[in-house]
Amino acid sequence: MEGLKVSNANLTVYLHPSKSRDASEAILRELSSLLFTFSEALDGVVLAYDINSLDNKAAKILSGVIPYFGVPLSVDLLLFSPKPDMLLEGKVVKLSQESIHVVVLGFSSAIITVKDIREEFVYKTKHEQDVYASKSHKRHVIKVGTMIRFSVKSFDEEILHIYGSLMPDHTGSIHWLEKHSELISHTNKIAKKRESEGELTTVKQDAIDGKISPLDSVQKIKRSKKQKIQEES
Amino acid sequence: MGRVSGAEKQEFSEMENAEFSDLQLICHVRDALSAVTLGDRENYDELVGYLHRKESLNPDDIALLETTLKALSGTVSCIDSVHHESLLSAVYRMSLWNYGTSIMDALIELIVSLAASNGKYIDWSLELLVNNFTPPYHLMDSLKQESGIEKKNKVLSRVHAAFEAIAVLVPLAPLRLSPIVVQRMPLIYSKGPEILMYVENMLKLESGAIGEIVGVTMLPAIVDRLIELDVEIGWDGLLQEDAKGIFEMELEDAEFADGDGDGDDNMVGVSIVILSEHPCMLTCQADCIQAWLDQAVGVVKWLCEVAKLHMVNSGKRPRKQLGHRVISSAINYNSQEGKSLCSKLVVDSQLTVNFSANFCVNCKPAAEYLNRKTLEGNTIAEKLDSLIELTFLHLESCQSSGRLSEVFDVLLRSFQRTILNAYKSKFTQFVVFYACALDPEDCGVKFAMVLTDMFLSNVNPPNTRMSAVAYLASYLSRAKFVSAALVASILQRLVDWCLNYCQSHDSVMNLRAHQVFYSGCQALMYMLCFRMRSLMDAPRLKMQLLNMPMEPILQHKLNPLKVCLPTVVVEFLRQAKAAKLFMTSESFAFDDMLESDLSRAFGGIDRLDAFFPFDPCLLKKSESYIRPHFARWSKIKCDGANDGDLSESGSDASDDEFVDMNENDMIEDDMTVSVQAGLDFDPDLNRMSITPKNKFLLHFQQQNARMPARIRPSTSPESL
Repeated sequence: MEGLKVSNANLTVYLHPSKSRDASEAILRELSSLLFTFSEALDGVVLAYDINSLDNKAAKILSGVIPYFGVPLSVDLLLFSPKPDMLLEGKVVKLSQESIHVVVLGFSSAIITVKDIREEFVYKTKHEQDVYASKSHKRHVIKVGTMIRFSVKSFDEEILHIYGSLMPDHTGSIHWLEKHSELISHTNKIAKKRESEGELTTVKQDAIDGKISPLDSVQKIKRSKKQKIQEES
Repeated sequence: MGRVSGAEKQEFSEMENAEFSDLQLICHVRDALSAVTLGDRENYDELVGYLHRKESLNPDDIALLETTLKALSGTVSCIDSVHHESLLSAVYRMSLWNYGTSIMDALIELIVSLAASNGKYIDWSLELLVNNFTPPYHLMDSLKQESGIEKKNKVLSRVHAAFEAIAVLVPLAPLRLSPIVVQRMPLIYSKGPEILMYVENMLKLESGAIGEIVGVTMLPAIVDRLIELDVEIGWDGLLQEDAKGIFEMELEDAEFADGDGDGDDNMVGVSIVILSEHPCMLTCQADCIQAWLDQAVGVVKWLCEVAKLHMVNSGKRPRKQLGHRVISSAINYNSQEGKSLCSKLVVDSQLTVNFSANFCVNCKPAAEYLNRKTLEGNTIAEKLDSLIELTFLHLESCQSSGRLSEVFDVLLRSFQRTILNAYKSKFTQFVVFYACALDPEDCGVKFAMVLTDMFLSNVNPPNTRMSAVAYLASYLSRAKFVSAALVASILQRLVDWCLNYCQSHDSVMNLRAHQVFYSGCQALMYMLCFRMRSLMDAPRLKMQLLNMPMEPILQHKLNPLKVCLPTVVVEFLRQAKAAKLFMTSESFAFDDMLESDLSRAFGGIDRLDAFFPFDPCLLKKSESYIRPHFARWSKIKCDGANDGDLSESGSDASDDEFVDMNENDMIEDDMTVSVQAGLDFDPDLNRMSITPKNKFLLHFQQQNARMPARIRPSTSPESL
């Protein structure tokens, strides 16, 4: 899954003087307040932090009515920053005729509207369950609880809401994609080979017969391809 | 799924006599919505029009509305916040309470779909749901009936289910819900039922499926509201409905005529200050009159102050429902001087008051003037009472579901932050008391330990430490469920600390500098007043008690016996003598029982004069929950008096002393508040309970005179 990265950041945490007795606890609390919020400076949602070292430099006291003091830190941060066209994985929580609702990493909600779901998938009600089933691949089914891979259209930073899309070919149910990725690529290769071979034979045949119709040959190739795919799935 | 009612056909006239499937409806709505962006608002406005129908009750309209909502749920992704603003505001104004269950379900589905579809609508949806916590005003009254309650259950169950549904789809929604709920809490001046219902919802959230995230903010917010209500209650506002005044002046051969004549025999109700143009016969003995009149002048003047404050209708007796009833006091007089006095009063008070016949001076305590019965709507005290009762019930349900420990942790944190430092919080702390009572071994002990640690740790500021030890003393004395062993162990820690303090501070009595120490000593003595007997009963604890080095503390140069409250000290020494605790120093201790000026100033203008937070709760409903776990002073006193060992001082007590103690009992065990209104009795009597500060009363006290007639404490029916 894309979109996750680990960054090292040099931060300064400003603490209220009342916390000077137990500064480390206060620092942890301050860092915890960053969690699950999008930070412009860090360009991502902070998911976890790990303090590398409290630099042993002294903390600078700010002048002012309340003399906060700034503790310099070096922190490792796990950041989540989805960008458009990235591929993300999440669990489907709700399906409707209009949209698929997904939860990514347990905290971020994503929605894929019907406009962004490719033609291949059709909304059906099977065995009293709502599913999106693929027209071309029978076993490729998306229902509640399925882990799917989708691409990002946009990301709402305030509410951490993702607008996703199932348009690209390599999106869909992860389980099915993993299982059939090799087969697909293999099928594609063979089909291409056969295609080129088929072309030659039919051309030869037709040449002998005297009829060469480009449409026929194309149709034949398509049919043979389909047959092969059906056999294998 | 697809069958559409006849009404649809009529409305969608462009497709006559056709059946619509859901899909077609959705397409139609989608088209209508997208047409708005192109400028064609016709279909869209039609849709919005359906949503505005509120008073529609006929089945056609209901079906239409339901279908519209369902269709909208299917097209949420097409709803744009700018173009479809009127649609959104129409939905926002819909309240679940106005409709039947089918529309409720459709509306909830729409809200949930909107929330999940776009981040912009999450706050909007949550606010809409929170708006449905309380019914619209015109439905408030119907809640008392069976049908109202049924409706309430239907609405609230759907609202809370909607929260859970949204939480599943948008995991971060509960985080955003907490601040919304807290911000929209009704103010303390709102009507009682509204506040109650809202808090009920908050408690439901706390115990619900999303309670883990939301619950941490709910309870502290409720406690904050309780404190706000608490501090609004002046001491004057708390009188039990049928309790009489503590002290009634009895006139020899007096005829009590109720001045306002509206039959308020219980003398709790009041009427405005009224003086008549026609003086009536005074039936008191002549030699009392002058003194009485002086007294009465003061009372009436004070009453006039109060009346002014409450904007009594001049010239007319206020209607009962106005509720601004001041203490009924009228003056019996028949003399010339009486008459002139009254005229003078009228002039002074600047009130045009009516004169009417037949007065009598009832020097009732000021406590009556905010009688709950007569104030319009719910008074603050009643609101607080109901809220605390609601919280008690919630705690009980937490206990039965096994969550009390976690809830108590949240409550305790809130207590430390809010209640502990609130100046003389009166009743809110009973929430913690009740939680401890429900689970004595865990919560009860935890509370005592936290308070002890707060006192003993010198990190905390002095006011916090003094407050903590006052809470500790009052709690351990009043909680029946706390074991004697725990009390003994905590006493030991306190004694050790005090001894340590004495040994490290070799200085003379100085109230300000050693206030923490003095508050600790007072706490010790107060606790022992209540618990001495139970400690002496157990042989192991008796040994522990006898071995505690209290003598050197009490005899130290710092002289705590002189600084601490005399009532407490007297009672403590009396019990100690009976228990044979400090045998060598008894004579010394008793001799010192003078009322010291310093004791009056203990805490002084600052906070901690006499603060015993768990004194009897004066709120009726809450008190009934607390009663089985609460130790009454009178009970302990009686037990002590009956017992052979300790009865020495008890039986030897003179009548005066007995009267003294009785008055103590009255104050503690009565549901009435301690008296002030000009009665010049021993102010010590106030010390065993909380002394209110009211500037009017203080002002009045300055001009007081001794009560001339016989004063007898009334035997309040509530004393046991």
